[in-house]
Amino acid sequence: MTTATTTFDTKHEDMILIKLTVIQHDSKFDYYGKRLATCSSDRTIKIFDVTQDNKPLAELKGHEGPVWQVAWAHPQFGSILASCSYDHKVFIWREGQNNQWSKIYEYKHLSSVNAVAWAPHELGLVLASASSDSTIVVNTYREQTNTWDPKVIKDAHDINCNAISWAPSAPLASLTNQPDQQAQQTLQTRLVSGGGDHLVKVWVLEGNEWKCEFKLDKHSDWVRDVAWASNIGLPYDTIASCSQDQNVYVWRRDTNSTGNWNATKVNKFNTVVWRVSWSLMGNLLAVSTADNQVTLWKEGLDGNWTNVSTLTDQNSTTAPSQ
Amino acid sequence: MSWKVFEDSKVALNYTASAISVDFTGKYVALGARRGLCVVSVDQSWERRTFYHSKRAEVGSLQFSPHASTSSYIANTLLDMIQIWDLSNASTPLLSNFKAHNRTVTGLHWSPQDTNLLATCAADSVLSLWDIRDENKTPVRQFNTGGPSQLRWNPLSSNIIASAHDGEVRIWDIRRTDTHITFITAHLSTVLSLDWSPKHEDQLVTCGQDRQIKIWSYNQPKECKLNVTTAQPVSRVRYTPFGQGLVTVSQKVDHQVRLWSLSNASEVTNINVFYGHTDVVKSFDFRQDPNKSTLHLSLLLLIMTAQLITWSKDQTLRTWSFTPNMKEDCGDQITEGLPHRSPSVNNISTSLNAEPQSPSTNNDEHLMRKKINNQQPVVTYNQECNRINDLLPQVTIESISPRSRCCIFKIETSGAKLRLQVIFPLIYPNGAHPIFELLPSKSVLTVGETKDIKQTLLTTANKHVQENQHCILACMDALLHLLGGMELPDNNEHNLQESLLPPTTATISPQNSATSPVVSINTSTSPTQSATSTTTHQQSTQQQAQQTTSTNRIMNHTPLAIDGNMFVDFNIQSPYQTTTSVYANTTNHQSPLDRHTNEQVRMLMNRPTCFGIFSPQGHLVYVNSHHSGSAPNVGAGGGAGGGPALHQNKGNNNHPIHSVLPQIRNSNDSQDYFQSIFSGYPIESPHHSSSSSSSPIIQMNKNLDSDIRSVSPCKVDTRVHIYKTDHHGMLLPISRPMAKELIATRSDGMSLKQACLHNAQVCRQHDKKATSRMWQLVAESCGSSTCSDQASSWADHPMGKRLMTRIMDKYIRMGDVQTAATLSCVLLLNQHDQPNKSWLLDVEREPLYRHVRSYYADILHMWGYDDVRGEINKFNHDHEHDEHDHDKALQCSIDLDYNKCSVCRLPVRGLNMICVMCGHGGHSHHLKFWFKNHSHCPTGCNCECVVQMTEYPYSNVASAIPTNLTNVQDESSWVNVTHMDVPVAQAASTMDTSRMVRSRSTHHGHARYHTDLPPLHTSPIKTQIPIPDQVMSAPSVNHDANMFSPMPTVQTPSTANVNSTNNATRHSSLKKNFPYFQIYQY
Repeated sequence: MTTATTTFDTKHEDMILIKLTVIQHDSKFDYYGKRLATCSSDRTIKIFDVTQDNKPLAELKGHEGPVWQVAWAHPQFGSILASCSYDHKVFIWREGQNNQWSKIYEYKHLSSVNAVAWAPHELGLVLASASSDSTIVVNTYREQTNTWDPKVIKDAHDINCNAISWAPSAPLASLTNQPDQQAQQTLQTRLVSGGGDHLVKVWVLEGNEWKCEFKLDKHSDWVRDVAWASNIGLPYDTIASCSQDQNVYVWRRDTNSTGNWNATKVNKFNTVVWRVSWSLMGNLLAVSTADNQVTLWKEGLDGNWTNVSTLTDQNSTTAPSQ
Repeated sequence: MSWKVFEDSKVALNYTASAISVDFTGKYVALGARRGLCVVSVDQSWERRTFYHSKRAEVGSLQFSPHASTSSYIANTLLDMIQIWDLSNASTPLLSNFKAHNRTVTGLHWSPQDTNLLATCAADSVLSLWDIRDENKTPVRQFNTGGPSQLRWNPLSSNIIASAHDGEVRIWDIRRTDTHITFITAHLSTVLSLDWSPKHEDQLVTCGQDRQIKIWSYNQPKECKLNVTTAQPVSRVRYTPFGQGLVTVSQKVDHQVRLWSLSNASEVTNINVFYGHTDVVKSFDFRQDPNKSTLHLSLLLLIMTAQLITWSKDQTLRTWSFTPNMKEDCGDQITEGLPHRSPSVNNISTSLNAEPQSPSTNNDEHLMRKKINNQQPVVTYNQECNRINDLLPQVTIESISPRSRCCIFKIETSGAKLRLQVIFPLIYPNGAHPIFELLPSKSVLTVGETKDIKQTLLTTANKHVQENQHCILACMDALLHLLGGMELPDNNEHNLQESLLPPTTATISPQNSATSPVVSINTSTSPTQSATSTTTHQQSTQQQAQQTTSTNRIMNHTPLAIDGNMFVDFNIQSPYQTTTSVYANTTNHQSPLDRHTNEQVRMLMNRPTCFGIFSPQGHLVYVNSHHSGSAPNVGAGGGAGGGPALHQNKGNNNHPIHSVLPQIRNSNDSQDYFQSIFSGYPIESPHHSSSSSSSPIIQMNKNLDSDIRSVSPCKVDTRVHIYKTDHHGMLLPISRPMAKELIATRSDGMSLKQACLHNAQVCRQHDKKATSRMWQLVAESCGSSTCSDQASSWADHPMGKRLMTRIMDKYIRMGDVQTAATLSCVLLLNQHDQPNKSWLLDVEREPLYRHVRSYYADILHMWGYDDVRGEINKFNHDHEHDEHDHDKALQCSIDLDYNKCSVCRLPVRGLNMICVMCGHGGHSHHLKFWFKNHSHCPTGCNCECVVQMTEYPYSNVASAIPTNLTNVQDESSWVNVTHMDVPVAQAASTMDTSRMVRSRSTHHGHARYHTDLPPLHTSPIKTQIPIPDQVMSAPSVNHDANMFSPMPTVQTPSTANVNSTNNATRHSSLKKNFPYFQIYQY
């Protein structure tokens, strides 16, 4: 009856000057699961080695506002981390020797940057960022010139872009076994974004332009997070979205047809839903809600989603009394 | 009065100069030219005098002494020298000329307090103070600091100097030479210019290559007080001598001089642009006008205090005046200035002088109006408005905002009470009429009346502005006239009109687009609507495309005026108030910044305090910043837990999870989906121990926790909890510990059945009972220990194929790629053993299985099980091409990425070795290590690199090169063969380099051939490379890669079962040749 967890203190510090509460905003493992990057409102990013007693490896400073999200690039590009912050900036950090991290690129949005996501590594070193300036920017690394090439999707969402997620680049039409079609499908690069206009939008790269392929309109308030599930070969695409309106939807679309997305409501929660996250196989969905609960959901064979586990902090109800 | 300000005077001077300075009296301006100093007197004569220096170099920076007693002194830098001139000394103007630094002097500034003190800084990392009276020319003080590029004395505090170092500004107290007193990390790129505020001792402005202008207080060096982003990097910034303003010029593209106001504590506003220069403005300076005789002290006048002198690359020197309005906008107090001078805006002063504005008690309004109209004075719109205020008793100004160029009039006639908002375009009155908007008032107008009024106003306005005349007075006249004819009821009630003319008004006046119309958006938000953010996209937008996005996001429930180039991040009730900052957009193409109302910002800033995210490895990272910091409960009550509990929902025993998961677990350890990854892999599983035993939890903050609990219960939890979800496959279908144990490729002699039974055993051990049974089923169905006959018969059986298909489908659908991939491998291998038999797996679905296998291979790579991955990947090699060995390399199914090492997956810099067969390769030391124990390719592409190389006739080596290179070549990043070592090998037969190609990538794609071999990629496919036998038999020399020396052999796999054709002649100690190309990459 033991619950075994790894717990360690990231020691993100309170900033004395401004007396704000430090809130960790994101924690991500690198590809090999050896290092954990956390970012917080104390404007720093910290990297820990979880294989060696959670030894702090590095602390990245440079952001001038709370850091919202971090993302590790695929290790084939080296040790690269992206971060985004309220200070309107997206930083890309690279590790040189011995935990010496340096900033190799900076992109400035016109407003707070809410999310960053690396494209599947097959597409190269490509980073998408979603900002409150209502743009999505896709920065592509050009190896030949050693430069980053930003591609701006203007007015991606009317109010602001809260979340972004890439479609897996694996061949989607594996089951069809039609080589020509498959090749065509594979070429298409998609990403999904959620915004303050209550919409979930699916974008597809056509030529050199990002086009809005679908507008998924079910939420009645800000979409807080979107997540595209990885595809292990099933003939459909799956997207999860969560919103301020307390709903979580899972969107499915048959890869073979050009059909529309069908929504399944996972659950209506009692409070705002902040994050959704797919497990590696795309069969388990972690939903984080504002009541400090993380619930895990699994799709039954009947297509309904059931809560298989709850991660909760039982002290939270009695927490800060002062 | 146009918003565009043109220069008062200009003169073209044929000099190349980058710096100018104005002397204390304001009579002379000095240009630092190539041959010397050119001093120009600033009057109509533009009299010039040149002081030549000895060198041909251009004067770096120069400055007149700012003191009255030494007003004829000027100091300039010239390479590593400093020159000080006394211009009043006609015979020997050069007072001193000395080498001050070891490197180029980058900055120079006279002390504003001490007459004889001069500060310089140079690229030799020294900041020096000089007493100009000192004959020896030894610095009074020296400060060693990294590469200062600028320096400025604090004008108010005589001991403070600021210097710019790349992106940093260091503040020095000259009494302390050892170190700076503080520093400001001002910009992320180079600081181009900085200046101290003449009003506030601690305030300074910096501008950087990053296009930002930032205002700092050196008392709070971490906090930028204000900033503004400009279209182009600002090369020079100075505080205005009056009020609180800045003058900037751009480094490139932009030829205008801009005036900014700092009068508002929260924003930097571009209030004026000085048009005229036709090229980049190099430098500028202010001058006090020396003609004190032109002083006007009339209280009605706002008089110039200073003039701006600019020097541009277009080789003109221009002077500009600051209008009273500009000064007003900069927060200049009229009464503050003492001797103000008005040299060149005579038109304003004279016209206003001639027309003293007496309070209009005059009954003869027409007369008065006529008088004014006749004069048509050049006044600004707000002077015009003020005048109307005085002239027309019915009209009063309710508010006037110079920044947004908006004025609200209250018009009260006997019959009507109206509020009229007038917004003045930038170029008003030159062809652009103001925008009139009726605001809600007590009088209610019908739609028709509103239309009439607007029509009248517009017609009148147009009539005037077409002649570039001011029109407000005429408009008001017309309006009053119209209203006189109207009988408007005085109505206090809110009614339809109220909603037509809503209570809140947001105005945006795009100051930058001189021709664009000014837009006024009236946003209707009822209180209930404004409580939520859901109404934001309902707004009507009547703007140009660029501004649509900016405004349709504005949602107000409080009046909000946003200036054309200012967008203020609202103060927000959040922890992030300190990051609230002011941004400006200065160009039209930049879309505006944060424009959220409080509600929206709140929603935006609000972030989850608790979240769980899956890592690629299947861990669940859980962060809960919210809770009190005491150790959270362990789900089912195990006391030792250090983190929150993840517990299964146990409604009843038949929870759906069991129907989904492939096995049923004991209730005993049903809590243990999540296991510590603390001890690393493999994990000592704690779950079989009793609940009272200690768990392997690390709790780094255990002590901290208890402290926190007693001291500050509100301390935010900064811990991260990591849950391992893949342990028992209950939640995640794949299991990491199992990966190593499952058999995908049978070793020799193992039958299909044995492999399946082994896998069944593994699953059972790992508590995957359903999967275990599946393996048993496969084992049974595939028959006895001699795998062959029955397997194939089962495959021929109508049920056989379908069963396998359904099993595979089930596992794929469940997401269990581990089982699916392993099963497909096992079955595939069986098929390869007996290619003649029919296939048990559906060939149609092979692409899917292939995808599943590669997916699983990726996961294995993530887990670090590259050996298992290689085995799985073998099956993704296309066996259909087995018979076409020559083509294999070209059609290898594994991604060909020449730049990446196939062992460590990192990009290869320097020596890269690739297999000529499959094209894979990598770091030489990695490959050496790999081929010690393996004969096949490390990518698992099923290329037996070692074996096949030796079986190949030599000609194929050559044939493989061009095809490889041309096929996979990626223009510039790839390789060109530049050097073949074959002749070397022939000559010195100790070198076995026959199959090695050394090549260098060049950025330009030029290939250079150093040998007499034909260029490889143009050579016919079957080029024969003569390789004598002795090459093969030569002992390999193993020095490691010296970049450009001929690369000797790398030895290879001794374990490989190689059938070399030349075994006989081979030296016993000789290792087989390494079948790899070597490529240098940069």
